[in-house]
Amino acid sequence: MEPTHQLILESLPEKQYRSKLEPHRELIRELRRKGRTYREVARLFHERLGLYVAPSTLHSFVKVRAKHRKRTQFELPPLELSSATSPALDRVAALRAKPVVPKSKSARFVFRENEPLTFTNNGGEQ
Amino acid sequence: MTEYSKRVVFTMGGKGGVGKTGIVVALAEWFQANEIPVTLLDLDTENKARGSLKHFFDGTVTKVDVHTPAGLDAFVDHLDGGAPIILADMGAGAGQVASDWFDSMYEDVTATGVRFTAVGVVTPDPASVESVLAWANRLQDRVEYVIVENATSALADFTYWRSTKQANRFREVFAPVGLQMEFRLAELENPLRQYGIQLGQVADRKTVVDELKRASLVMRAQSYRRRLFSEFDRARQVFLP
Repeated sequence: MEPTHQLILESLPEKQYRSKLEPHRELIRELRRKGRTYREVARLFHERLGLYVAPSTLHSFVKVRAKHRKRTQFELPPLELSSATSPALDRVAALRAKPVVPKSKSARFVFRENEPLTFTNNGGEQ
Repeated sequence: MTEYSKRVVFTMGGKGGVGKTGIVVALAEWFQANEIPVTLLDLDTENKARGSLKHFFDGTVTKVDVHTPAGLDAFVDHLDGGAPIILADMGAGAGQVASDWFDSMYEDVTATGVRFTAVGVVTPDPASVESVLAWANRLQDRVEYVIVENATSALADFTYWRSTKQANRFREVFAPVGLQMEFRLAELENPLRQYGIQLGQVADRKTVVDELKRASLVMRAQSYRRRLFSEFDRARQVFLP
């Protein structure tokens, strides 16, 4: 890097962009887990916290963090996670995975009864 | 993996008069000579008296009508606690019954350790060959095949069996065990059928029929039996569980 550029960077303090929703991240996550829509979450924030936030802002907040931190589960947990605790769902998955036995195998030998027997090239020779 | 402990050996019906019952009678004698217990089932409802399996082994043969909804369930019933081998003489016209039964029962019956051997008898008559091939078309590879060439005359010609494309294809696909039943003199064969007497009874001089006590016929019977048993010995893997 050029020395001039380096100086500029060093002269500027660190600035972390933080959403106003950052302090409420865990609350949003839990509400989403409980099945609340972004519209409902926005209304709750307004009624209980006096915080005005658009549903689309909540949506972007959740999506951006979900993308950057893939291991963090903001959205509803996928079916596989809940199936681990549900024997019925395990059995459903097992049944779905069960190989299907073909109803009938294709015939290895075909004989058409309405057709006469035909000799091979050396037919008739014993 | 299935452990096989039982075997059903049955004749492929279809063409009548080719010698199906004759081969079953001979097989029953072979098992008897080897002291292996078998259950004999006569499924030939058309052949009611003379010439039927029951005629040869009266008292030890169970007659079964396969033309009922239960069809060949007799196989299952008689293998349950009975002899490990069933020898069944299937009558002409039982092809559809057998096919339907195999379609609905085969998988579950084989899962209990039962194997099947279908015995087809061919003669110089092309209809006998067509009959065997038609049965194979239905049974496919659910059975092991034994094909008996029954020489109905001194110079029997098996061209239709040995040299047709359809029969060749059958041999290529299923690799059947081939056996030969030689032509038997009418002086011996006809009284055997007439009186329901086994070949072994003549060979061992245990018959009360005078015309079958002739020394030459006794010797013939002994020769026929020896050669036929030798054929069965060769194919024993498909007759034993």
